[in-house]
Parts: sequence; structure tokens; C-alpha cells
Amino acid sequence: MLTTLARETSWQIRIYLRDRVAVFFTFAFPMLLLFFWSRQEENPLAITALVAGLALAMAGYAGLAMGMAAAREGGVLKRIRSTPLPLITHISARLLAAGVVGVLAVGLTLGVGGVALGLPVSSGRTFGLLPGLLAGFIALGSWGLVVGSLAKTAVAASYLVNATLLPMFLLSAAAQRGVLPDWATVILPWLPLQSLFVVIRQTIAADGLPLFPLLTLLAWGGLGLALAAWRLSRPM
Amino acid sequence: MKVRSEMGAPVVEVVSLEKRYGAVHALRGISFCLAPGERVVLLGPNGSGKTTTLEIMGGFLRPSSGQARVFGVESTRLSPWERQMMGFVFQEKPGLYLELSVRETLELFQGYYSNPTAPTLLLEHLGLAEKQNRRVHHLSGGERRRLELALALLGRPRLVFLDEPTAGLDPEARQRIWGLLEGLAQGGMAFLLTTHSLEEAERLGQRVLLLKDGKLLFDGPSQAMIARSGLPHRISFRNAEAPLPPDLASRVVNEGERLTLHSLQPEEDLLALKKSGLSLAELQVRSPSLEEAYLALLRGGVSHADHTG
Repeated sequence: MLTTLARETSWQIRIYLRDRVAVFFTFAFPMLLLFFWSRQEENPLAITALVAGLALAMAGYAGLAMGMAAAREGGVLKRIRSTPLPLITHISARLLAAGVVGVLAVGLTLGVGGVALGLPVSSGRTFGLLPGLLAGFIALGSWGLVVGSLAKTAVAASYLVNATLLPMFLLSAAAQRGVLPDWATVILPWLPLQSLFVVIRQTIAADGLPLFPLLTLLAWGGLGLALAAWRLSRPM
Repeated sequence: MKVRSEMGAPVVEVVSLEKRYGAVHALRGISFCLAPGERVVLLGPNGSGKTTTLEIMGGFLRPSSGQARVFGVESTRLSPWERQMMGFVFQEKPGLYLELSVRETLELFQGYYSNPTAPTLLLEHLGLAEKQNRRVHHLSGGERRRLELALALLGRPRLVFLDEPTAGLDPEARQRIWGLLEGLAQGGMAFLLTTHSLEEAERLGQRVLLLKDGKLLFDGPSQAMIARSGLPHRISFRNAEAPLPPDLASRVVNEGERLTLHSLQPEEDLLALKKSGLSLAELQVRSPSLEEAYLALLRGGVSHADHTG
């Protein structure tokens, strides 16, 4: 069972990394954002944390949502169902693969941030980030599965992703620049992306794992996993 | 109604199967079975319910009522154990990873089966050996179709569902696939195949199922379907000087230099012609084709399945 899952995960990572669009938005796009943004902002740690969180969201949320929808649209999920491989193993492998790719993207962002912007990124702090990244990935990845199971096509999934991820990111960016509208200050701390930014920023700054953002992520993850399990147990 | 084959415990058993999509009645109580190693072709016009039948067999659709069993198990409850023995070629949506090469695709899927066929062997048989390192994204439609067939056969299945497997293929590829399927069927593999090619049905099918508007019009060998259509055989010969027997003369059509007799009992009519002393020069006897029988049965809309198989 675990061997099958590991094998399927390695294939899913290979397939993800061969998708040029997915690779661009997971690895290259955050780098471009980091490069341009760092020239305008004075707080490199906050910028790097924002971009690293976005990289994880690109793999865990956008990648999974669009990947699942495309797999169903192209008949891949149906083909998997026609084989002896349990569908749950395949979906778990997709989730794990997105997690591995997401952590790699975060690592790259922090590495580049460390070198180019002089951030205090040590190996100890990076490993300390793993629990927070795991919570963030579960929160975003589970909702990626939910969106992937709701959207009938990859295009529809991309609309749903843009309609949810972009506002969250823009609100967090606005908060960073101090231009957040009053109404948004109430909801921002409850959003998963903002919680992930705070977790990454405070862990890298050696302030320890912040409890409220971590619990927020776990709550989003729990709700997302329950919804994903319900959606995926129905015929797809 | 006879639905159980006499060739052994059926690998597929369908009893009074119905499927409704809202107001649309896609299947209206069809019943049939497949014995181990049996080759059955499902015919019918577009929208007659062929793909719906296969989708239910594969457990991808739930029937509205009736039963669909595969290896004795309800098709919606097939376990990985039964899936080990099954293969599928889907009509639409190939379900392939465009980012992988042909060989990688087979390597990925072979890991799902306990005793898979070597990919090299399938690549050779399906004429894909030279394309094995090409990404699926760059394959032609026909090459993708052959790869789909390779995936269906990868697990050494005992039962394969093929939804128009040769649609869009060139004649050479079609012949290659027919040969491969015939060879595997001789080894004991059963298949249920849908097609619009009557040539394919005649060559591959031991039995033909004819669907129209979700009803099973016919179930039996192709020759029985031709007989069931009620179409006459055409006995033609060079126009003779001698008079025709009176009971045959009314059925003979003069076509210039030739006379053509439309006959439902060709053996008896030929004997009668010979006895009459006619020379029967350049005698030709042509049976109705499966295509003619297919069209006649669809036009006639026979209401009950004829289980002669």
C-alpha cells in the first residue's frame, strides 16, 4: 500500500514538473514577484514570506484544483477507476506530490530571498518552518481538492482559483503596505493565506510558531479535508 | 427469455437493465450475457445506448434499475481484484497523461497490475515501438488510440470493454488491432465491443447485439441476424431462352442480360432452377450483407430480442 502510494507520488511529481505552465507559476512566477517587489519594499522578510506562501498556494491550491479538474476533463480519473489502483491512492498521491513541489518552491523562494535580500535563513529555521508549512499545505491542498471536485473543467477551476486566491493575496499585500481598508482588517486574520504568511514570517524571524494563525490553518484544513472527502466519495 | 450462456459461468450478466437521464430513457430493460472467451459486438445507431451499457458495465454509471454483474459482482461494487481482470478502451476522453512518453505511460500503468504484459511486447504488437519515446502530446489520434488499447490489454485481462476501438484508425492499424484481438480471444479473453463498422462486427463478433432507442432488437450470431432481417438472397444468371418454372417466374427480375431471382430459400430455389433445365450460365448467388440486415432491422424496429446465440 505505502509502496504503491510512494510510486504513484513519484510519477505525479514527474508529471507536475513536466507541465511548463504549472512549473512557471509555481517556481518562476514567485521569483519574478520577489525580484520586482523587493525593489519597492523595505521589509524583505515580509515580502519573502508573502511570496513563499504564494508559491505554496500555487502548488497546493491552484495546482491541485486545476490538475484534478483537468484529469477529470481529460478522462484520466476515469481511466484510473478502470484499473486496480484505488482512486483514493491516486488522489492521495496527487496531494503528496503537490506538497513536495510546494515545499520545494517555498525552499527556493526562501533560498533566493536569503541570498539576494540578505534574510537570516538558516537550516534550523527552515526545518522549524516545516510544521507550519504542513498545516498551510493541508489547508490549501484540501481546498484545492474541493475546487477540483467542484469545477467541471480546468478552465472553470482556474476561474475559481483566481476568484479566491487573488483577493486573498491582494488583501495580504495591502496589509503589508498598510493600505488595508477597515472592513478587511476584521476578516484578514481568518484567511488561510494570511495565516500562512504570518506563520512563515514569524518562524523565519525566530519568533516561534504563532498559535492563532496555526490554529486557523488547521481549522481550514479540517474543514477542507472533510468537504474533499465528501465530494470525492461521490461519483466523479 | 434465455440470458445465460451455455459456454460457462458468464463473465458479464445483464438483466432488465434500465438507465434514465431525466426524461431520456437511455436503456429500456436490456438483458444479455457474455461467456468466458466470448466475442460480442454491440451495434446500434448513435444514441442507441451502446456507450451507456459499457459505462454501467465498468461501474462508471449507476443503472436506474436492473442488474449488471461482472465476474458475478455488481458493476458498481467492483473491487481491485476484479479490475485486475478487466480492460477498457473509452470512446471519448482518452485519459492519458500528455506529459509522459508512450513507454512511460505503459510503465506507470503496469505498476497497477499484479502480472502485467511486458510493455515492449505490446508496443511491438500495436506498431508503437518506434514511437515509444515520443510524448503522448505529440502522438497522432490513431497512435493515441493504439496506446489506449495497449493500456486496456496491459494487465492480461480476461474481459475487455472496447468502445469503438478502431474509430479513426487507418486500414493497416485496424487490421493489426483486429489480428491482435482475435489472437487474444483465442487465448480465452472475452470482449464486448461497440462499433459502427459492420465489417469489424462480422470479423470479430461471435455474437451481435443490436440496440435501438435503448432496446435490444437482436442477440445472436451475425448469420442469424441476416436471416432474421428477412432480406432475400439474390440468385442471378445469364438471361436464358428456356422458360422459367411458373412458381419462380413471378419473383424474377429481368436486368438486361441477366435475370435475378430474390429468394428466401436459396438452396430450394437453386434446385428448382436446375431441375427446370436452365443452363444457369454465369450463376452468382449473393447473400444479404450484415449491413443490409442491420439497416433492415433498424427500419423494421423488431420489438423483441431474438436470442439465438
